[in-house]
Amino acid sequence: MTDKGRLLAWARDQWTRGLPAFEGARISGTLPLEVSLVNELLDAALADMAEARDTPSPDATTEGQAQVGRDLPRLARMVRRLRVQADAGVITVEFEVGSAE
Amino acid sequence: MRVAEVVRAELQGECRRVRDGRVLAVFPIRQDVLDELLPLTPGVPDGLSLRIEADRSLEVRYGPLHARLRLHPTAVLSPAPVVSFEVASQLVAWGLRRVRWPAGIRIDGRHLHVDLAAMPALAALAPVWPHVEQLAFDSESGRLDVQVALVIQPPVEDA
Repeated sequence: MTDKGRLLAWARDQWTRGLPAFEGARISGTLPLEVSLVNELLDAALADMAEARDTPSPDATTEGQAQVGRDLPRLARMVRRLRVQADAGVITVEFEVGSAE
Repeated sequence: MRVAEVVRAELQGECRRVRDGRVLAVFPIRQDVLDELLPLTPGVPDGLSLRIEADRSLEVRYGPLHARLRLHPTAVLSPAPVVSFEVASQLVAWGLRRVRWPAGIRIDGRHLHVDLAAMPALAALAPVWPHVEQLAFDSESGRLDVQVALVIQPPVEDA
């Protein structure tokens, strides 16, 4: 396996184990997003989750759409704060995510 | 990976649909994680080890050689994101000036400068660098804290 492959394998293993190496990491922010971008993100998330639902074996795929769909609930568990505000044409998302400490 | 593709496309398109976004991230890097990651990182020589100490000090060991470096508290971000280290020993700095470094690493007096945008292991972050407002470091023994502040604004002609 190449160095890059080993690094990716390490990152994938971290992700499946709940990111223990990133214990204590925090990301917070405010993102005012145009509605067209929010809709693209929602479409993409729904497509990823549908792919995950329709793929029979969770162990058969470690990359690609199906894996991302399964990853979304895992990502959701890291969300500590989430607020949205809608203005004309813009949705502002305030968020804080973090791994366990 | 459709969500990731949308995010990547927006970043590569200069975030034209994000209006004055602000993100603050803090990543603690523990000694055990660094020990695990170093041998996996492309371009890092086999046998190189780093020990994290207080006040942004790092002890570097490579075979019989060892050196103490002190990380500057913040990175320079323009024209390129550059992290700098002060080499504690004049003699070591003199020796380092004679090493043929890969692209992106240079020695200036007792200071070692690393251009993050030129590092192969960080190539995936290329679309993020223009949005980094601050990259700061702090440490205690066994743990290095990396703080990143991002400001995401549409290009000037769109603002």
